[in-house]
Amino acid sequence: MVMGNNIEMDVKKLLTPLVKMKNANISMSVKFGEAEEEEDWEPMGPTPKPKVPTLRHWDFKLLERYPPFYMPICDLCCLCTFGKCDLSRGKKGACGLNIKAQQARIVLIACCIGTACHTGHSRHLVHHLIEKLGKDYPINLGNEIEVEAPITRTVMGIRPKTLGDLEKILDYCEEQITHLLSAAHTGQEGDYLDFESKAFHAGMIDDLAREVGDIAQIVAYNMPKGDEDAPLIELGFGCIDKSKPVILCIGHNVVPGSYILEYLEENNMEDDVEVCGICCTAIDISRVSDKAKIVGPLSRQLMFVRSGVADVVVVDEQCIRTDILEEVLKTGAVLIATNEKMCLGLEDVSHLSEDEIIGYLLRNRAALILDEEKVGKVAVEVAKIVAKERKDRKTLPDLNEVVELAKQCTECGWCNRNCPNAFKVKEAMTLAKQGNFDGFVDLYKKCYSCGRCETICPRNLPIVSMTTKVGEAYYKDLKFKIRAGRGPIKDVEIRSVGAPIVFGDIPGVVALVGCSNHPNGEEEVALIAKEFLERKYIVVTSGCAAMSIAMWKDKDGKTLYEKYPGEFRAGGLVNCGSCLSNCHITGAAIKIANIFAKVPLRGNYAEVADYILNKVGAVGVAWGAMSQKAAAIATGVNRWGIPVIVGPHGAKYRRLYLSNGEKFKVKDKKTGEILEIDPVPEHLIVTAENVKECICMIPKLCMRPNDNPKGRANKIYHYVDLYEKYFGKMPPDLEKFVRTEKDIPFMMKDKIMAYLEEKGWKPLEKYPQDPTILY
Amino acid sequence: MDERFIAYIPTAGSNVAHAEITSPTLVKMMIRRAKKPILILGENLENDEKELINKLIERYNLKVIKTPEEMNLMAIMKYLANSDYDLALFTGITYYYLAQAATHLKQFSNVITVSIDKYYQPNTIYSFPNLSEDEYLDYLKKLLEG
Repeated sequence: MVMGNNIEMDVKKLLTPLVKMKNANISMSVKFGEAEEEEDWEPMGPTPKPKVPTLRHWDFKLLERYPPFYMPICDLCCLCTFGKCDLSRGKKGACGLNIKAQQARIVLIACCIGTACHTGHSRHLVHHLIEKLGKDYPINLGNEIEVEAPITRTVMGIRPKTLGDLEKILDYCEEQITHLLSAAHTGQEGDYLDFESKAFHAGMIDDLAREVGDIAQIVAYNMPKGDEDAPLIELGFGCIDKSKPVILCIGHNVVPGSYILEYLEENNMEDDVEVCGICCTAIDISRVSDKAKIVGPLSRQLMFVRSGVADVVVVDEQCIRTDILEEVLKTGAVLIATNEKMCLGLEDVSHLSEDEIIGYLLRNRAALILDEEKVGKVAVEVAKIVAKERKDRKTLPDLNEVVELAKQCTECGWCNRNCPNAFKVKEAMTLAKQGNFDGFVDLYKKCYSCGRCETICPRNLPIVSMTTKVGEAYYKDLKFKIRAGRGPIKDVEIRSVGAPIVFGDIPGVVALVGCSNHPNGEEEVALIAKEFLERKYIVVTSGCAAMSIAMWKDKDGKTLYEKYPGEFRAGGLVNCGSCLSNCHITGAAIKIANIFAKVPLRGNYAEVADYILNKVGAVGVAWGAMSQKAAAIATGVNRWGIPVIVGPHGAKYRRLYLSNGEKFKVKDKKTGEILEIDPVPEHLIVTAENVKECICMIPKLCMRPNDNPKGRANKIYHYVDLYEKYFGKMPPDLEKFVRTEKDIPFMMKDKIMAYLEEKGWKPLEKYPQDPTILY
Repeated sequence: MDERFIAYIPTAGSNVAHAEITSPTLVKMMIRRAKKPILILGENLENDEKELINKLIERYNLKVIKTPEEMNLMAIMKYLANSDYDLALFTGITYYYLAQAATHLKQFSNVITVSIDKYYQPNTIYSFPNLSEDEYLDYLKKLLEG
């Protein structure tokens, strides 16, 4: 470890018993610890540790092509006591802010929340792991991953070697978040484009913080290091053995869950207690041990808790229902909160001994334990006792009771109107009155158990519990397989797919990420994955989306993880891991620039992002994006030059980056010419109304100016084929993306030529061999 | 308050200005007076509704963009905000999605927006109230009368 400081000082007068000095000028260098210079692995680029305005020039390039498109979800500003201010239709607030800047400000705040969440999470992990393993614990991702931290290399200009190095990165992240968030204060930033540039910066910091967190947990917990054969893990309600004591972990932080697994292993109780999880903790504990099971994504949270299967619920941080305490206590289970970000009003009993805590929990049923090491023993021992107590406890109404409850329904219809997706709850009730559960069966498949229907029901009917009961009774086969999160992509994989991706022979990389706010149930994410796997795209996934993909089986009862390999190659289905692991998806794009194209990474953000924007045919799809973390992730991904499609609820993020779909300008680095090219990728972040539109948009957004004619023809083939499959017609904007006749796929030549003639298409005279927007 | 005039999903409004309720008679007048009207047509209509909307298109010779089949709804909003269309009618679009998209035109254009869907849409300038299926078919038929 090195800690160096240069000291310069002027001394006017110094008197000590040994020295008398006047007007001395002292200059010296002080080093703490063993001197170890950062080796000269690459020349430093122009933007190491960028500050808020450092990459503004790059952001403005992007924003010029993809200007922000605002849909104000609210036309008031309610942030300060000058207001409320009405900003509608050109009015300004008391501070002078207009509605565009206000929307951009809210997006910045959302991105800061998301970024702070990932940074706080990573800080917690790194801090904890340094306490446990020491600052010098090495970061070693194995021989097959030399570019260990592509985002860190590019943004920070360093190669992290130890857990201690990760701390320095987090120092930088926290400093940037403070500046960014302060810009959102009343009377600070006033221009919407600058707010957007700051949101980009927040997104980039989010990416960096996630890389820190995931690398820390991979090395410390020995999670798979780019292992394409990571084990298949059990997933679904049906895989939990209810005859055993059940511990359910919810949230995003692996630390308490890992102690539970460790305690079970040390005491040879692995087969005696079920440890399962919801949301990213689930994915991460299954990266620690293949014995851990995954209940499902966020959307299954309320349903599973209501089902009463869990005896102890351990919550850490993020994506946990804020009424979890109330819900857990209703089932007679015990709740343990383990994180300072979610204390739930509970008494902190961390200072007590483990046995004392067990006693406290059995008396009080819930507590805050901030010493996660104690959670291991406490959760297990309490679960064993509570499981016996709760053996015959019923938490859901039985089917007869569901009918009786349904009979109380007055069919006012407010459940349908309060459902974010207007699902047919009322109709399900009406059918259930007759003992027909078809409506509830359908609802169970789609519902993400937010509970808004219950909140508004004037008869206080437990609609989520009724849905859960019917689901439990009618779906017997809720057992699936998911490949455990494998972490980063190996350098050798990048070497073999770099050229085909850059030239377009692999038609694209589709990253299915994000939350469970799906417009029409989980199955759609799996169907998107299936469509593109069959077409030999590379499909990459993480978090709740990775779980949703697992919750679909083919006619032979196999999930997509069982049917497709876990390699980063055409037709591969790569589960990187939890939300933190999204960094490996952008990391793969960065590594293509570095490993395949030899673009230097060190402090060289804009050049790397420019390479990705123009050459790497990747698109992110967040079909159920819901949280502020998703906003930060998408915005961060956008700054790297990767377009993102969000589902219809994503419109509520209130800002998209849409081009006007006309020709773009780029410079050809080979000839120095400024050329007008086809509009690819057409948008930077855009919504799709339904799954058909999303599927058809993916191949379009995978097109890049650098595609060679064969590659572009391949992409156009999929675009046309999918449009015909889902809309029964040719894509209505195809002429924009055919540069010359060489771009037309051979199999569709006649059809496409006839279409182009009808549209009055003319080929581009020239298109660049080496496109860039940095000029 | 009559719940016919509350947003179908009650949280879909954008606070200050909510759509004025309109009737088929007024919508007919608006179409006739508009210099350049357009209909943005979604996929979520029942068969008999579709049939009546097709008659409406024919009757008033309306320019139509089908979403998402022909164009992404947000791209349509962007296009309309910068176009010379003076009246935009909407129907058949996912409710909460249009509620969000329509705020763009409400804040950043002079296009008169009218929801002729069966649910009250607060973020257009004018809207039908929340209607039952039969009432909605009646409204559509009235649009074709006279």
